[in-house]
Amino acid sequence: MASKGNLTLKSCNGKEFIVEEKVAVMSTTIKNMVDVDDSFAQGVIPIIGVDGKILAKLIEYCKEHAEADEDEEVKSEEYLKKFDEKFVDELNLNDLYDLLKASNYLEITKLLNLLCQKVASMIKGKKPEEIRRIFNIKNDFTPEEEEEINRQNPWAF
Amino acid sequence: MDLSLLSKEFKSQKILEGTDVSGSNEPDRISHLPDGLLCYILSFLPTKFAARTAVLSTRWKDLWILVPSLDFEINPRDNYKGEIERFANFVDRLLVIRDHLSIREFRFACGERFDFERLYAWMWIVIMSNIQVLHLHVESLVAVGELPWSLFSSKSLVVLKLSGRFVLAIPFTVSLPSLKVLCLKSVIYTNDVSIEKLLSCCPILEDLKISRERWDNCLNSVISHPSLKRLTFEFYGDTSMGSFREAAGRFKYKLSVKAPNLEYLKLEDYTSDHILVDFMPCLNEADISVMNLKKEDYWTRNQRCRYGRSICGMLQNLSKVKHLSLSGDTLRGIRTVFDGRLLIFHNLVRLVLGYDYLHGPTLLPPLLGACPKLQSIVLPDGMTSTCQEMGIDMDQYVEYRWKPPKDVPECLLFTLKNIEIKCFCGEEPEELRLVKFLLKNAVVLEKMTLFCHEYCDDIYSFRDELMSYKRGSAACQLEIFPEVYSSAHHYELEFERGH
Repeated sequence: MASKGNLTLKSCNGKEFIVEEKVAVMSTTIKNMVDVDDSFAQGVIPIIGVDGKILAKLIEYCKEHAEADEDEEVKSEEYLKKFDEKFVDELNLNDLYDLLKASNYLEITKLLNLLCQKVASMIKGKKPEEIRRIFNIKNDFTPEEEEEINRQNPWAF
Repeated sequence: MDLSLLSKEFKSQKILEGTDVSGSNEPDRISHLPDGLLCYILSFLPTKFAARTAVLSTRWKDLWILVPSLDFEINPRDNYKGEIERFANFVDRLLVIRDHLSIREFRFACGERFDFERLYAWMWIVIMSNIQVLHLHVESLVAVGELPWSLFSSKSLVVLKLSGRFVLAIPFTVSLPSLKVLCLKSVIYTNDVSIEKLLSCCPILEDLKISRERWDNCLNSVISHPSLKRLTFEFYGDTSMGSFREAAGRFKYKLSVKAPNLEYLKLEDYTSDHILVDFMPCLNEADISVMNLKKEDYWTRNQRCRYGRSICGMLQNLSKVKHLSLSGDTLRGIRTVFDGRLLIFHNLVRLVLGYDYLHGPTLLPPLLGACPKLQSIVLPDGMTSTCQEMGIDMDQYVEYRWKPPKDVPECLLFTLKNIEIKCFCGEEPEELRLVKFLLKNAVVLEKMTLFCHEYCDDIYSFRDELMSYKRGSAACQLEIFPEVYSSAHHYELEFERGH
């Protein structure tokens, strides 16, 4: 059991993580759970649908940001920016999706924005074929249908 | 299926993303994300790029239409008729298809030749759609038109940024109950009371930024708000000599700020002739850069003093500040009327001082004396004008030289831990005397960092001398960097080696 000021988070594949409360409550979902029901603060908080690997990543991110919120001198904005850049650059596509879903479910807004920004930057300025290739999207339009969409919005294409 | 094509496809994917793609059945996971999440991702894109995703697959066809953030930019160089028409039709069509769906954010940037009537009509729809964030930017030298009155009674609007020569005609009834952030850049005011009237109808406003231009129909800016937390006021004005001559001898522009809850103040004002700031008890950070430099040449001694007194009066009302930055020009204004006394900044922990090339660092000792809790001081423009004003014989201007104060300022004895000096030349006796004084008397100093001026090419000529200075604090580190472009370019030199 976690000591005072700490929370225990349990991933869907049974891995437990003891984290400081200030780190865990970067997630609005966890914050609401702890606020509403005191037993969560004492016992184990199950994080549904998030495996140990992804949960560890989430905690790594939240830890840096929670510490920066507490002490701006040590972890400046510039430092955080570099950390964020490195954090998203090291992700492969699968981790990116898993983290997107997890940060969406856990309502970690800063991280969610960072990840969405990353995906958006992978789409921006690219041709449809390129985007499909990057994300393995299968084109299920007939050439006529595709032509029709292009015709409807000539300014965009 | 053509296998060679397939393998080629995967090869390029690997190059594009560097991800580990090994099988031919890599799943399309992105399309399986929920609608809300995909729309949220698309909201980070300009609408043009979001719209292009319609063609990816049937899953994506209508997603972009649901995105509640619209972001349009029409590049001024695209301003030829056909492009504008295609763009306008696109927006018209999108707004019709979206019908009553709410528009959370609307960003619009365009060049001068855009049809303002059309923008006006869109804005009307946007304002009716529960808009929370509205950014309008029109690149134009002439007035572009008034804004819809309904804008000034939006219940949902949280952020409003207007940039361009919009005419701010405020209707009789204004109410912006949710507005927290307001940014007005280069707008034209109906009269002196436009700003005041607008602010009085934004009860929860926290963050205000005003960037004024001359010829904006306002002489007397009054910024008055009980709950405002952050204020940035910029007024560069027209810096041509002709306009200074024209304005000489007249006190034309006036700024007054009444914001008792302000926590952050940035003032960059090169035009106002009179600045009046009320007491700010909650102020945390202030960045002040004011001057009437060129105008001064046309002012009488009396007028110069009047301006200086208005700056000193302002400073007095900022006395609760924790972080303070004063530009060299601001210091010069203060120096004009300085009589040896300064009020005490009891809370100040960090001070950034520009360089007053007329009086040198003569204000530094009294300022140090006025900040008993100071922990950190930064001199971004250095301590001498020799290198700074290359090609000008500064000796004829510099009337004052820095002298060590009789009593060591309190902060040097108890609190000052960090000194950072940029644009260090290393050859001026004045500079060396100052460094010597600080090293000797700052007895709790942890670090002094010197960044040499870009013209200074031989740091070895003075480093030994600097290193030999007596340090009052045994723990004090002295670091000297050859030059500073940006923090990314710093590289450390180990001076202790071979010393």
